Amino acid sequence: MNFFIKRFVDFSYFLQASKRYQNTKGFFYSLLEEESYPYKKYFDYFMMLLILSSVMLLIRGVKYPLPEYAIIYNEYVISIIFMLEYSLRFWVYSSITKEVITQYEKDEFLNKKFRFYKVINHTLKQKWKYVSSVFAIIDLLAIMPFFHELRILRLFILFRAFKIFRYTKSLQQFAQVLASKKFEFFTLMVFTSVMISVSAVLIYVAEANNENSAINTIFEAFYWSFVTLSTVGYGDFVPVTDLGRTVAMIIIVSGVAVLAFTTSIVVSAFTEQLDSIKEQKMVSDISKMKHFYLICGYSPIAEIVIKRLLRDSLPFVILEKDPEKAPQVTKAKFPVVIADPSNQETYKMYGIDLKKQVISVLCLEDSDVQTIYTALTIRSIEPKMKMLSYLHEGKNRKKLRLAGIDDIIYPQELVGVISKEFTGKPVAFDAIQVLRSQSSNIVLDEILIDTRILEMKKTVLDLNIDMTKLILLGIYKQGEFYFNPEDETLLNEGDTLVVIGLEIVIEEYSLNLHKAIL
Amino acid sequence: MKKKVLVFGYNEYAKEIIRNFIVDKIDTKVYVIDEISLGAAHNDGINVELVELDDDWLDIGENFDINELICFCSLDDDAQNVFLTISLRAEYENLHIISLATSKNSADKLRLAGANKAIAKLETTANVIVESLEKPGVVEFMNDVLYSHKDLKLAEYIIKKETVLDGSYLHEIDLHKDYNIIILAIADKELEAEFTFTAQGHNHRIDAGDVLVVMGRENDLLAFEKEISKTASKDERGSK
Repeated sequence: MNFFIKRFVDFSYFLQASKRYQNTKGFFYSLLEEESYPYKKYFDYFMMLLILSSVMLLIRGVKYPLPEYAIIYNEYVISIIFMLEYSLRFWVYSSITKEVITQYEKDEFLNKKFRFYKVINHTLKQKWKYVSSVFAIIDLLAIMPFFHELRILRLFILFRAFKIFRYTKSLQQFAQVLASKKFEFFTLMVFTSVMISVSAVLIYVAEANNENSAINTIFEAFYWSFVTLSTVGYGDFVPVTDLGRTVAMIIIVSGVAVLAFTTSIVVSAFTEQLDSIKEQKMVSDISKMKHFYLICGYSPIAEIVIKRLLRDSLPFVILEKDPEKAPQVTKAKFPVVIADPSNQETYKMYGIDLKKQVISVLCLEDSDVQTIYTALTIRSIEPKMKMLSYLHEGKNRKKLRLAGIDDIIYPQELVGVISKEFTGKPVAFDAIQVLRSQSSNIVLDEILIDTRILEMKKTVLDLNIDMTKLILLGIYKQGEFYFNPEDETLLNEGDTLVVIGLEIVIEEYSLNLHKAIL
Repeated sequence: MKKKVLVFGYNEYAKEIIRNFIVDKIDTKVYVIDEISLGAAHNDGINVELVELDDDWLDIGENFDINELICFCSLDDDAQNVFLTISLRAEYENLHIISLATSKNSADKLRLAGANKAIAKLETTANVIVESLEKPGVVEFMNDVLYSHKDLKLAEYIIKKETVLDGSYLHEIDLHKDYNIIILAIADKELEAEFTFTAQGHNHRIDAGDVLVVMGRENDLLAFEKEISKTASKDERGSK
């Protein structure tokens, strides 16, 4: 290996190992390409602002001379920023260092001479792929006005308007949807081209030698064909011969057909892609959610739980593998992911971060078998995840516990206990049900004692509960309940007060407890 | 507490209901409408009888004291439960009927059919699930009070005529310091639950016939019950 190549390999290893280099490259990659990166949108807004200002200056410059600073801004400042952006995109598109190292190690392993040309070849191909992409071409054209000596290049400012596509997702999606109908559009284009060409030639033959006709050149014939086929028909060129008029009639009918065909292609493209567009949007929405409850399985019980969560404005995401069972993604007003919750890939694919985003998992599957499978999948990804599950058959309770479910809800057991309470203390139980159901404005609620409250409130007496209209039923201290605590009872961080009161009073009281130190 | 319990149906819900009453040694009988349930209940050593759904239910009146009886309609099918409830109500006006329904809609139908209480299984479970997410402390508290056998209890007392509390006002009584008891609510008439919650802050006048819903430890509750059943002296009543 010659000296130069050896140094190159060494340098590649150095860059690959350099945290600073990797972090910088990672940062620019996220800023330019990663939709989920929180600062990307600010960068996009900034670029859109530059584009709009540039186009506005172009429009203004048509009739009024622009001041010197505006010209400098439009032709140098913006161009340099765009050039920088172009270079950064070129840089982050692929990694040369990685290529070098991979090839080097491969050749070392095979005991071969390092094939540097392969690296060069592959890298060039990769970079060419970027340079030849539609977006990169538009980017490059948008930089052109920088070379303002070539006056024609000024018009390239218009390409800056096309750059808007890069920064607005909906426009990109629009282009993607239309791209899905490439074949249909191609067919339509061929048909239209043939129609225009044939009719242009015919009209030229029929009209060019007629003194009364305005159509004298082949260009005018093409122009007329195009204007007529599009059903616009300005009327600046009108056929006067019988043959010309016959051609006009045919081309008018064809024009209507072309328009109808175009409309139907666009509409059907959107109808077909609607689900996938919605899904893409949902994935991006989910990745932006900070915290949510994850509901696995869309069962009848899940349906009611969802209604309650919606009512209380609690964030949640549903995972259901059966598309027939799940609510329609297009119609649902909440995030539904049609994917198997017991498959580890699901969480990667939809960007669900169990550790950071999910508050707790609700396994509301249709069977205990599925619940256990899902619970173990989640446990294997995030061992500390809090999980709650619906138990279908009492005999499976132990298995659910073994699968790591923290809270098990067995409806039969609930109904059994409720039935007994209804017969024993019907009025008392009714009162409790009213409190729990939140159907009245009186509720049973909890207030968590945190460090902020503790700074001012040391004992139960300090809480001044007697001064409010709340009733303090007791305090939970490390899992132990202290009913009707005495005034001297000390408060600790993590204690939970269980209170009854008007919802609004509880809210205000809790707020005042936190505000007290101000 | 009613003395006898009749359960219709023998499914997992019925089994849990029966289990809760058998623990307290309450006389429980099961009526089933199919042979399979009959066999299953027999195997579990349950006092069971096979009946027809379109029975006239006259033998219930003959064999039990209706005022001491409580019926649970826990058949698998909501329509059957509604039919059973309406048949029982048609025959016995005062029978206490509690029926199970799958959803809130069916529970509404059961109430129309004459059930004193209708428990919507799905809604009840969903409420517990959401509550345990939103208010885990409250759920733990409810479990401690209702479902565990710790000595903290929920109790209700009917205010009798001319007893200590008859005619007094809610604001005048401070039970939580004197008796270590908390009054949660007052129902104006038994079972027609129109509640006044103490936390609402109204100064409700307690009259004979009102039901006091209180919470406290078993011993404190016993002492309190003794105290409120005392007859108020004429002077005390005169001052109210």
